[in-house]
Amino acid sequence: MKKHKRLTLVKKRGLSGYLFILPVIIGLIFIFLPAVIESLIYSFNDVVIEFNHIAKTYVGFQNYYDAFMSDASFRVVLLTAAKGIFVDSAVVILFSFFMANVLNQKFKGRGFARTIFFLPVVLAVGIVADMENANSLYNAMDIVSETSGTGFDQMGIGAMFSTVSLMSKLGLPGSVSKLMIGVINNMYNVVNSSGVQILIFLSALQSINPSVFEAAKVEGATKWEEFWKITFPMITPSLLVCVVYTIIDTFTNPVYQVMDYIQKQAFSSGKMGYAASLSWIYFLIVIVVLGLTAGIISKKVTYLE
Amino acid sequence: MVRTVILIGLCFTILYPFLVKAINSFKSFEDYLDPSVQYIPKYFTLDNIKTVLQQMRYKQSFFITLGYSTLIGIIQVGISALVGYGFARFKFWGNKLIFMLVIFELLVPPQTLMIPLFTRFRFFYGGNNLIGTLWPVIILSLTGLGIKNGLYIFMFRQFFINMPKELEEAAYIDGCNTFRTFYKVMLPSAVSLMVTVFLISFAWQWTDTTYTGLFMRGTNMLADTIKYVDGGEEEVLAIAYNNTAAVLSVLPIALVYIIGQKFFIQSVERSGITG
Repeated sequence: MKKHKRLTLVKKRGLSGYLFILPVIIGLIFIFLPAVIESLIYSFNDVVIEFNHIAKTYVGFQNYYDAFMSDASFRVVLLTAAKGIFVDSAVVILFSFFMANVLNQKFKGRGFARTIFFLPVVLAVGIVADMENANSLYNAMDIVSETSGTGFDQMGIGAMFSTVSLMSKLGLPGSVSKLMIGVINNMYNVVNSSGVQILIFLSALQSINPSVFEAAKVEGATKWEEFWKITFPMITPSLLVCVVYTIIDTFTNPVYQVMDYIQKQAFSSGKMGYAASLSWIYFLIVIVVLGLTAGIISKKVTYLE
Repeated sequence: MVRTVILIGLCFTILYPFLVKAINSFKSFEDYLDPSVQYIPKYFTLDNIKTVLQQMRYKQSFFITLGYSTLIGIIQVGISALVGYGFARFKFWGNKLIFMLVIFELLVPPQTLMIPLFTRFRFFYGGNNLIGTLWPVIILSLTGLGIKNGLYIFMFRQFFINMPKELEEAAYIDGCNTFRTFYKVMLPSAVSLMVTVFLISFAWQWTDTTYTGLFMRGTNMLADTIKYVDGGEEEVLAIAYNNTAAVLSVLPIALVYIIGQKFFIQSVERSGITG
């Protein structure tokens, strides 16, 4: 009798657990999973929206075949994105980790610095990000009109040239210096897309128990050892979260034309089936990249329980 | 010393585009054409702002966006807290699996699901056309599928997992049921995280162009009316107006952020958004 009662209590708690996550279950069953399946079906069909229904014609792998064989611009867009994503994700992770460490130290004006660093989290998305992309024309004009004056941007370009010459004098291979200049040029983007990651790293750094550091100091550990033996292992779980988030974030970043291209195929050219297959190709690439990186990192993750 | 230089430089990098945009919206047409005008306009004018305000129907769309973003923010905070608590504290069959699916939701780029979601809302149960109404994102938020909603659920789950269990046990013994425990005992301790999530989801809904452009054309949201801004034939004027429109539409968010950032920073200090 007693045993039976205990079991029902556990079951009862389990049931209320289901009640708590009910919204998500409904969302998964009625909206998310059908949408995933539907988009998969679309990718094997020719889809046309007619007056009040959707007309589908089964075409097999034709859409996928077209994407790689006959659509030249998709391949270019995809390759550019794939190249950029690797570099950008790595830079964003390194940068946000570095910044989190800096913002974790005690100094005057820390609150102010933090306020500014998290500003892009709320501001540099959506409308502003779209504007940034649409404004490339304006930026081009800006530079042209500034070649006569002495503007900030022109100084930037001048400094860039001297960096190139400096790097070549140091004997760095051209590809390395090109990469570095690309990163420096891209700094604005990097800073803007690091907000959430800095937040995650920062909260991880703050959750480390100070007494661990004290103990290490008593044992005679240097700062360098403290960092690699304590700080770094302690934040590896957050590192995993950050890497996953960054990769997703860079993949959907409008800087890369892929998303835009897919959207155009679907809504301007009306090739919905084709667009669905393109987005599945893109998604599969995301999954593979994500699986590989997350797999490698999660082997190194230390959990403290 | 090095730190100060780096920090000032990076803060400048972040603020620079916003400042330039803000200044540019006061420039007159002549200033845009004059190459000697770099930052400070010669002919200070409010004409851009006036025209854009009118073209965007700013007053109307401001209040619609404000109300809608607040509503979405509240819904997303409520649902994410509820679901996050459910994942954190209850053992039931499929907990891990469903949580994986929530993370999976976060992984799928919105563009992959754009088309099926569009058709779903175009022919919503019984053939109702919900495109062009405010319903799609409300429905998505209610079911935990809004913009980056998985991230909020994840944050709440981590937060509740790290809370001590004693409080809840005491509440159970005193006769609270699970829901009462949740909103009487657990929620009050999560206020700063709730404010943070509200702030983020409010801001992201406010500036969101993906879902607004897809589902809610013609609803007079700011992200929608920004497309009505039109400088006519003159290209420079079009750019100037677009710039001003962007400034005007994110200005309220900047203000909200400055007011709410105390909570934001605070919740960073003690929240558990760790893996």
